[in-house]
This record gives sequence, C-alpha cells and structure tokens, in this order.
Amino acid sequence: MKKFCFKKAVAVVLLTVSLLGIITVSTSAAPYESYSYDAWDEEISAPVGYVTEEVITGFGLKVGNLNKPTDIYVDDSNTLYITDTGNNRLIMVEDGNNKVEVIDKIIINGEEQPLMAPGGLFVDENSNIYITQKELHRVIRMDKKGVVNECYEQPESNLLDEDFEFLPTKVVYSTNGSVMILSEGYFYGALTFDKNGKFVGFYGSNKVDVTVQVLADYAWKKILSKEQKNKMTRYVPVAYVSFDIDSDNFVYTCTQTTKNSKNELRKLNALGNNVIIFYDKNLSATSEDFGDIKKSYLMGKSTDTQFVDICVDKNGVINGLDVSRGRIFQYDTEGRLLNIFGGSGSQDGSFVTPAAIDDRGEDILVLDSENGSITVFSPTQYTKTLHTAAALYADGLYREAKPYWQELLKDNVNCEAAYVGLGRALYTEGEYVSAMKMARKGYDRDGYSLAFKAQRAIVIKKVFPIVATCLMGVLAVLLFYIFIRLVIKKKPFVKKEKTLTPIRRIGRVMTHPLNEYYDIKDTNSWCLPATIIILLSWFAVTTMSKTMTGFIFNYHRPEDTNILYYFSATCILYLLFVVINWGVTTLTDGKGNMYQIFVACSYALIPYISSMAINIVMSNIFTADEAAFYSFINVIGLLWSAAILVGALRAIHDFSFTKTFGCIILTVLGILFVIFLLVLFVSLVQQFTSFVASIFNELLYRS
Amino acid sequence: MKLYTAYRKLISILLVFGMAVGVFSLSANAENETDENTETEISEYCNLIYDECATSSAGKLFVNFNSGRFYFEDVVGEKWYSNPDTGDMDEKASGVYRMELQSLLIVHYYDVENKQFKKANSEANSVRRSDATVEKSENGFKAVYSFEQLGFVIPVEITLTDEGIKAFVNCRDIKEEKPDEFMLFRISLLPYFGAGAPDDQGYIVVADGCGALMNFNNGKYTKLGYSSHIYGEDLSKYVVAKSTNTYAVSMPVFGIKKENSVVTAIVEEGAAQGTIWCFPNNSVTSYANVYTAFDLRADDSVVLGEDTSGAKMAALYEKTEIQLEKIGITYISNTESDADYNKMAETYKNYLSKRDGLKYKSQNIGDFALDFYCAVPKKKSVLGFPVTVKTALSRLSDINKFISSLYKDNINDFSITLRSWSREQLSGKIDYSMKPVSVIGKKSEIQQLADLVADNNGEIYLNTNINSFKKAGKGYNKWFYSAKSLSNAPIYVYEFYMSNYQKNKDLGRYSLIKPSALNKMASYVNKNICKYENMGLSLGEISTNLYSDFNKKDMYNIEETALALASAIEKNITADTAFDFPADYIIKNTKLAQNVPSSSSQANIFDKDIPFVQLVLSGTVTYTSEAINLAADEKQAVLEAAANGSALQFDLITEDEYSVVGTELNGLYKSNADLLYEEIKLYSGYFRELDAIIQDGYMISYTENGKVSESYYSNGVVVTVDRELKTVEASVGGKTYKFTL
Repeated sequence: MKKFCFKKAVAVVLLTVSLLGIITVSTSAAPYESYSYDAWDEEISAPVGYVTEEVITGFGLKVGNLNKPTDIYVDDSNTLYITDTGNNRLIMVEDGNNKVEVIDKIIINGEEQPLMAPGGLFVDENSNIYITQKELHRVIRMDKKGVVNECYEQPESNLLDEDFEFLPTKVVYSTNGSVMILSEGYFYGALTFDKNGKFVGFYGSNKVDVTVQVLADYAWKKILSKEQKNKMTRYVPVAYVSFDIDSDNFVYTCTQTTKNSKNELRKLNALGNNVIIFYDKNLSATSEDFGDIKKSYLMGKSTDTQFVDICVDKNGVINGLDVSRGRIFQYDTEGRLLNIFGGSGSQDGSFVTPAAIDDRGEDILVLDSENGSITVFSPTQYTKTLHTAAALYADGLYREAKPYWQELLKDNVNCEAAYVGLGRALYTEGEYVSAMKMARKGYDRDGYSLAFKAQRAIVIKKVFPIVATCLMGVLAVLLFYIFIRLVIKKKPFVKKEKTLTPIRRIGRVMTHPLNEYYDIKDTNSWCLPATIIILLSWFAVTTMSKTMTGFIFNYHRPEDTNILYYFSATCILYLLFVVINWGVTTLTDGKGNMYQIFVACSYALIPYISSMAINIVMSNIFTADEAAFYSFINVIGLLWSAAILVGALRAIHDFSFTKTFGCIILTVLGILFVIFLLVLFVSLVQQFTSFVASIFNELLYRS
Repeated sequence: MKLYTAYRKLISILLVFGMAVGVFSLSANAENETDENTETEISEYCNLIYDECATSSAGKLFVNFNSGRFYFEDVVGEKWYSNPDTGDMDEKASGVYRMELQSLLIVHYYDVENKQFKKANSEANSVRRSDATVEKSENGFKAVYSFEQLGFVIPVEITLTDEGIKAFVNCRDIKEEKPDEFMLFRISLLPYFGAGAPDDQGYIVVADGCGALMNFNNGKYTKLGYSSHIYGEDLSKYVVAKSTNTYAVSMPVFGIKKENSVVTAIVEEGAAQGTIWCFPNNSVTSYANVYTAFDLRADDSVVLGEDTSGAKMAALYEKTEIQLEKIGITYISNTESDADYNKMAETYKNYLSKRDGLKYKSQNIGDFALDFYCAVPKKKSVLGFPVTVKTALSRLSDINKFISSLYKDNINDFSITLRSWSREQLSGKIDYSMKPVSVIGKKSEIQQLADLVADNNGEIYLNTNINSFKKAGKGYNKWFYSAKSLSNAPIYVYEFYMSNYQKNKDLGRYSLIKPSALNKMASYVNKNICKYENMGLSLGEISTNLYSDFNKKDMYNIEETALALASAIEKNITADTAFDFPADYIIKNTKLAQNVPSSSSQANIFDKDIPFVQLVLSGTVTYTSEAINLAADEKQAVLEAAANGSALQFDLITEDEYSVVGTELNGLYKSNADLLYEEIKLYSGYFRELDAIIQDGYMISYTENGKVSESYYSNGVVVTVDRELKTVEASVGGKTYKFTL
C-alpha cells in the first residue's frame, strides 16, 4: 500500500446558508401512506413517523445541479458530505457555520489530480474522508483540503481469487483503526485493511440462502462423483450492497434482495455473526423478513423490497433504504419495525432513485440520485416518543418507559409495541392481570407468560389451603368408609367378573392393542357408534384446540376459525386414509375389509384426542417455561396412537410388522398423491374459470 | 449574359427595397413605442405585426392576423402575450418545441394506422403552411387552424370582455376530415400564454389541495413538470396499481404572476375534461408556462390477467364523435401594483360569486365539526364459521351522552356528521332506507340526536353516497345501474394496499352509478333524509370523484357527469348539504365544507403551499380542516387551521379505541371521544375566542414569512401564526387574543 505526501490544492467555494436552496415544507401531513405491520403480517395504518423538513438541491446550494450523486455522509459535527459522482466532486455542507465547500481536485504525492468519479463515502473521527473510486480501483483517504494521505488499492493475497477485480463501492472505518471496503459483486464479505493499510482478510460474508433447490442439490452432491458435482450449479452467498458501523464497532449490512426474502439487514459482531434477534410474535413464515412483508405481483412481475443502503443512529435504530418503492424501513435494536416512511414518486418525501441514507441527529437524510436532491426527514412527536420508549425498553427500564408507551397508545391504538411495553411495565409493578391483558393485545407471549406465572402463584397461594383442606376431608371420609367396611362390617372388596362389552373392549385396546384387536376381529365385535363418536370428538377437540388453547400456546388467529376446514382436516382426512388403506391392502393381500379398517383405526385415535384435550386444559395452566410438558403430552398421545394403529392394521390385515409399516407408508404416499390430484383439480378449475372470465372480458371489449 | 446581369440588378434592387422596408418598419416600431394611441405594433424581434382588434374596460386586444398570436394590454399598460414575444429566438427550444412556443394550439391525435398517439401544433402544421385564417369578430377575432395533413380544422375564438380575455373552442365546429386516419384526442389551449422568460421573476399558482405556488425557474427537478386533472382523475380508467397519495385540484383555475403583473386563468368551459400542466423550469424551452389540456376523447388501457404471468395490456380509445361542446378559458388581469396570489383568489371568488350568485357571510372559525364513525364490518368466528359482523364504534346513545356533556360545558358551536352508520352503507348497498345499523341504535335515536343538536342551534348531517355501491339490492343491479368503462365492462373501483400498491380485493369493489341515474338517486336519498327532522345530508367527496360512462345508449363524459351531479343535487336535495373538499361547481349547494386540506399534494416541484382554496371559500361557506386528531403533528395542524381560517374537525368513535384494530377503519388510531374530550374543549375554546375577534370578517389575504404567517380579514383583523413558537395571535383595533400550544 502506497503512502502519499500531503499538499493542498483545493477548489473551495464558500457560501452563506442564506443562499442555500433549502425548501421548508409547512405541512401537517405526508404525501405518502403511513403504515406498519401487525402481528399477523397484515398492514395497518400508523401515524406519520417522519415529515419532510427540507429538500436540499445543488441549485439551492448554488453549486449547480448535482449529477448522479452516489453517497452522503454526515459526520459528528453535522457536516453533510455529498459525492457528486457525475460532476467529479465532493460537496461539504456545514450545518453549524453555514458554508458550502466543493472539492474537485485532490493532491496525491504532491501532484494535483481531478477527483474522478467519487463513490462511497465515510468520515472518521479525525475528519479523514474515505472515498471509493470504483473506476480507478481504489479508495482514497484524504483530509478536508483534498490532500490524500492513504490509498487502498487492489490487495495481493492468496485469499483472493485469481480473477478478483477490486471495484470498491462502500467503505467504513472502525475505531480500532481497520478499514472495511465492499467490492462490487464480491460475495466473501468486506475486504479488511488494518491501520497500516495492509489487507488482512474478509469480514462477515453472507450465508447461502437455504431454499428447497439448495437442499435438493446438497442431497444430490452427497451421491454424485466429483466430476458430476463440478458440473452442478455452485451456490454462493449474496453480496452486500452497503454497510454502516456504530460506535461499538458492530457492522450493519444490507443485501439488496435474498432468495428467501430474509435477513436482508444484519448486525454483525466482531466475529461476523448476525446478532439481530428477530422477534416474531406468531411464528409466521415471514420471520426475519425485513422490508415489506407483502410482495407485489403485477403484470407478471414480482416486486419485493430491495435495500440499497443502511444507516444506524447513536441509539442503535436501524434505517434501511428500499430502492424499489423508495421507502425507509426503521427497526429497533431487536429488529422490531418502528416506522415505514417515504415512497416512490415526484412528491416531497418520495423518490425516483433513492441511493443513500444517513442520519443527522434525529433527522434522516435520503439522497435521490436521479433527482440530485437530498430530502431531510424530521421525526414527528410520535416517533420521538416511540424512540425514547424503545430505548428505555431495550435497557430493561420498563417502568421508566411506561408513560411514553401510554402516550404512544393514546396516539396510536394500533401500536403493538406499546401494548408489549405497557405489559412489561405493569408486570414490574405487580399488576399481573392488567399486564396479561396488555401482553395479549401486543401478542407478547413471553410477557404474558411471566405475568400469568406470577398471577398463577397468587391464585394458588390463595386457593391452596381451601383445596388442600377439601382433599384432606375427602380422603378422611374415604378412609373412614374403608375402615367401617373392612373392620367393622367385615365386607371385603371382591372384584366381579364383568362381561366384555364393545366399549370395554375399546378400553382394553388402549393397553393391549394387538391381542384385543385379534379378539375383536375373531368375535366381530366392532362398534360403529363408538367410531362415529371418536371421529366427531376428534373434530370437536381440534376445533376447541384452536379456540380454547391458552394464549401462550395458541398461534391461531381467532377470526380465521373455520370448522369446515377442521372437519376436512379430521373426518374427511380419516375417510381418505381408510379408502387408501383399503386400496393398498387389497393389492397387498390384506384380509381386512373397509368396515373393519374404518372402525379399528378410529380406536387408535383415542390417545391422540385425549392428549389434545388434556393439552387444551393444561395450556391454560402451564407457562412458557413449562412448554416441555405440553409437548411431552402431545408426543405421548401421538406415539400411543401410532402404536395402536400399527396393532390395528396388523391384526385386521393379518400382516407382519414389516408389511404393516410398508402398508402405512404406502397409505401415506397414497394420501399425498390424492391431495396432490385434488390441488391440481382445484387449480385447473380456477384456471378454467379465469379463462372463461378472460373470454367474457375479451368479448365485452370487442363488442 | 445580359439576362444574368439583369437578374442580378433586379435582385439587388429587391434587396435594397427589402432593407429599406425593414428599416422603415423598425423606425415605425420605434415611433409606435412612443405613441400610445397607435393601432399597429411590430414586435421587436419577430417582426410580427399586431393590430388592435378590440377594446373594453379591461384593456385592449392586439392580434397578428397571420398567425392569430395576440397580446392583451390591460388598463395600466401591462401586456400579456399569447406566446413569448421572443419565442422564435429561443436557443434552448429546438425543432418542434420552438414551433410550439409560437402556437396557440397543441393537439394530440391518434394515428389509426400506426396505432400511436402523436402531437401537432398550430404554428408548424397550419400557420407556416398558410393554412390558418384569422378574422376579426365582435370584440375579438376568430382564428381557424387547418391541419391540412391531418384533416383537422379547429376554430379558436378570442374575445375581449370587461373582465379580460376569453379564449374558447367550440368543439361542435371542429372538423375531422380524415377520421379513419387521424382522430383528435386532446387540445392544449394557449400553452404559452403569459409564459415567464428566463430572467422574469414570478410564479405559477394552482389549486392543488389547498393551493400551491411554483417560482419561475426554481431549479427543481428540471425534467419534471406538474400535471393534475381538474376535479381528480377519471374513475372510469383502468388502474393496475396506485402508488401516489395526492389531493385533487378542486377549482379550475391557475394564475401567473410575472414581475408586477398578475393574471388569473379560469377554465370556464370543459373544466372537468381539463388537465392543468405546469413547467416552471421548462427543460425543452427557456420559458416557464402553465396551461390546460382538454380531453376531447377518452383513452384507456385494460390488462387481461393482471395477476398472472401472461398479463397483457391492451390500449383502447374512444371512436365516437367528439361529445364535448366547448372548451374555454378566461384570463383576467389584475391591475393593482401589489397583486399576488391573494388577488388571484379574490378574482376567482368574485367570478364564483357572480356565476353562482353566492353571498358573502362571515367565516365561523369557531364552528368545529365532530365526525362520528358509527360501525364497521369486522371478521369474527361465530360457532366456528368465519363471518363478517357489523361492530359498533359509536352507539347513538353514547354520541348523545358525549354531546350532551359538551353542551353542559357550554360548548355548543359545532356540527355533527354520522359516517358509516346506515344498514345498507355497511353492506355496500345503495342507501335505500337510510336506517341505522342495529348495533348502533334505532332510527328514533337518530331523531333524538337531531333534536338535541337543533335545540342547541347546531347542525347534524348523515353521510351517504349516491354514486357507488358494492352489492345489488332493491332493484339496483350492476348491469343496469353501473357506469361502464371504455372497455364496455362495468367500472370497478378498488381500494389499494398501502404497502404494495396492489388492489385490495378482500375489501370488495365498488360499482359506480351511471350518471343518468344520479337524478333518481338524489331524489331517493332526499326522500329518505326528509323523513328525519332537522337533518342535513353529507355526500362526502363526491364532487372530486367523477367518471365517464361509456354505456352505448347513454354516454357521459366527465364534464357531463359533473353537470349531471350538480343538477341532481340542485334539483332534488332540499336538506342542508355538507361535502368533503367540495369542487367549485358544488359550492353553491354546500352548507358545510369538510376536510378541506391544509396542504397541497406536495409535488416536489412546488415551492410553497398557500391557502388559495381557503381564501376562495372564506366568507362563502363554513369550512373545516381535515381531522386534527389524526394529523401527523396535531399542534401543527391546529396552527395551520388558525392560519387558513379553517374550523377544526375531529374524527371520533365512542367505543373503546381498540375496537378499530383489525378492521378496515384502523386508520382511526386516535379517535376515542372520551380521551379527546379535553382536547376538543381546549382547542374549541381557543377557536371560539378567535371567532369572537374575527366576528363577521372573512379572510382576504395571507402572507408568509418563514415560519410566521399573517392572515388578513375583511374587517381588519390580522391573525398571526408563529409555527416556531406555536402561537396564534388575533388583533384588531387594539383588541388582541393570543394562545400558545
């Protein structure tokens, strides 16, 4: 790495701020829709978080229009730096002393050169300016007078591919002296240089997105030969497009788009690991999906959020800039969505080609490369309160945050974060019932569990003496009865031999499935009414499990409850199983008939239904800490049912164990195939309807 | 050889003669500049000869009889040129743009063979081909432009009235001689009238939202202009996605201030077919211009299978005869030396008063409005089945209690509007019974509410709509009662998702009532509203939601729909009417104008928002701001209302605020009436005091200096609003009232 002497040759233009073309927008509303997403990933209205405070243009700065500017940076003294790439210059706008400076020439080794195509930008605490020059394959570090004191060029290292071309686009400086540079299209992460300018390696590369295709190819590669493997597609991680760094040297990266639309924004620790814990309230498939959750599919084209830049403020609030719809997505340190603002278009606060984002105190600055303008967004009172509350919450100061959450809730009843915050605050204050209500509104299951646990302890403490006394009383009465019967009246308890009714046989199936099924088959004592009751119970318990399971364990949306669906998922599915199994066993010489299958298999459901019923009750008693018991009951029920099912099929078809298992697998495959055919049929019907509608429309249009 | 010499001599003589004529002309021009009474002038640069052709109390009209280019000289000697005087010397404008600079008309037409929309202008396609004729007419002239190649003959009439210049085209006189090849679609009338030269100081004003101002050559977004359809976009057009959030232009007016002169342009004919275009930084010429382009025919596009990968877009265009009767603009020059946008507003207000016979009245800034949202459809699971049930947001008994407590606190200067309240409205049907949905209460309770309000001298309105429905009922079905788009399919209006701009098909789609049925609908609604006593009718934002109807038997363009709507209301509605952000043609029927925006659409080419619309409305109807409790910055919204002379508005529900969560009305995120009670009391108190100072005055002008604005009233009251200190101060004759937020 070369070092250069320092000499100055700067073209400086000083202008007073009175000449600045800053347009104040006196507005009470924003020209874009303000919304957020609720726990169910539905968009909901939200108060406007940021309003356009001013729009800075080159014309207004009296430096001529900006031409395809690439990046902006705001340093600690609130000086705004703009790389005006198309005009080959750097513009510095000082906020405090109201002056504009333009650097279009730099001094390298005492030699004056034009500042060619400046791109990415960073300014360190010593006011050194780092500028990437992609076309020149270098990053320069210079002072405010344009004297270059360091130049980072293509490193020579075994770590790099032979065909690697250094195309720097973004640069950040870490307070430990290292400099990280993103090279266009390079997916191994940021190239890191130490404080002496020496290349030391890569930092924090993305991981390959796990998709079905990737998993399938991975499985194939386990089987194939080396040559065959080499011919297969090579999966590489997606390259970052931009990054930022905070005062603790956590690096925040953004990826334009990922295959599974997840983890577009990351917060990397010193080891390069992502430490954002995305808090997902309803175990949805959109977990870790930054940006818009709702994708658009129009005119045969799918559009998702595409991040181009990221900035993080002093409180750790992360702002991601979306180029596809010109929006800014703001998250707190735990990945909770705080605000969405901006848009695409030709109004204040909307953009044509948003290219870069940075913060200036509370304000957010967004560079529009196409318009050559910088829009300054200032937070509304709502956002200021939200930031304060979120910061206090993140520090665990729940009580201190309470008034802010209350204020927020007054301003926005849709604010789920406020319910969560208030729930935690009320919990710390010992108001457990209120805390549970709030946590429920905010879909905060952990918070609800904490409050519930505390409230449960209170209830138990209150009712335990009464319950214990009652139990003791019952026990005493029982013992007294036994004593009277055995000792006083001398009447021993003799077990009577009972006849085996069908119901009694079902009870014996639970403990001795194989023997009992053979007996039932031999005596032909199948009980159809019991089967119908069992199936209806399954349907009823499934429905109840959706509506009556305790909040901590219930991820079902109440208004989506549809018993027709549950009927299909229980009784219809069971009928399908019976038919397919009969078909399979007919082909494999099974001896059971459809009636026997229908009745026998239904008995196997009893443990599973019972475990579900028990869990409905227990889910209203257990806390999140006791989730293992909940799962245990479930698993026991399932395994028990599976064991009985195997017994049933083996007995009625007179199969060996191996054949029974094979038959079950074939039945499952058969069910999947039928479902596939059904889906295909429904899709066909839909397409046909759509086709008819198209013809109808076409006829209308042509008439 | 002799012949050659003779030719040379002849040419030399002609040249000398030509030069002599030129010099003579120039000297004559110099003389004319000093002689005010002369009847002929020659443009210094273009050698255009302008002849005086009309005189009125407004000024004089001069015309060039070759091209039809003209200028108007007002009584103080300010000249307004139809085209820039130096247009043909503009180095920035090349080719067609230089021709357009000198044109009175720019037309857009459809080339049938090539299936393309193209444009032509009167200068290149008619004047330069000597196909234009200009004849003097009574108080003006008539220029007939023949576009020989295209087969269009378009007559433009310019007359001088006592107000100013009137330019119009009688569309019935337009000839299309090659209709199988070229079809006329749009006419831009006087596209460069009053255009600002690069060195001119001035601005353009449009009535977008509350009103907006664009300085000439403001250096912003030079590639972009501004355009907005007057009274909003035609709802009959097929919309694939909606990404912008803009206000409509509610008044067909724009203004130009150039140096010390001001001209106000009023689109008098064909306004609903017009689109206002502004280019303050014209990138293709050196001039800043504003004009109106009128759609003579409609065009549209439809997408077949828009949600599928095989989506196909098809362009459609109207093939029938031109339906529009007339297009016309009146330009009124203001001769006062300090004329600005306030003068433009005054000019337009005077025009409206004259046209509609409006009477001035005081602006009751203290009369705030309470809009109660009564019910909303909500998804629920009933007995395991997902159903949509109507859920109460404001029960009538609770509204009664709420306003009774306001009366008890001596707050009685407010109006009430019930929204989302009726049985049919919530089912998406035509409001044929106007009965309340059962979850909010009974019909008798509405009457009780009306009586209570009437006893306290207030007003109450029931909101409904007469132009749309989702579901058929009572004989109203989509096939017979809905308007049709150009594709001949019924028009469907969708809500759009905020996040991905796509249609929200879960919320259903609206059909629009065909304009020919509006009269019947209005009569129906009036019959129902009259069943209540002391009850007014709120018709929402109907006046800026216009549409064409291409039903083959009964075709309506937007202009005709606007007329049909105005006529239906005028003829049938006897109750007091309230509208949201009313358009100018409905103001005469408006008792209360609600949701009048305090800002423009904030196009990034704008320099400043101005309360142009409020200046026009003030003293004509009582108007309110948009709901301040839902504003981005509530205090800022209150300050803007005070500055604009707007009464305040609150959107409320009386039920627990959480009841809106998960419903389509989740935008009412801060609407709990009980929680807002103290706020309403406080702000209404401030505005009542302001009202006591303003009394019978109405706003006549507005100035802004940084964050401080001053609104001047007809009775000398000045309301000063400081947005930095958040103070409002009203003063007159030593009497002052001030409050700080």
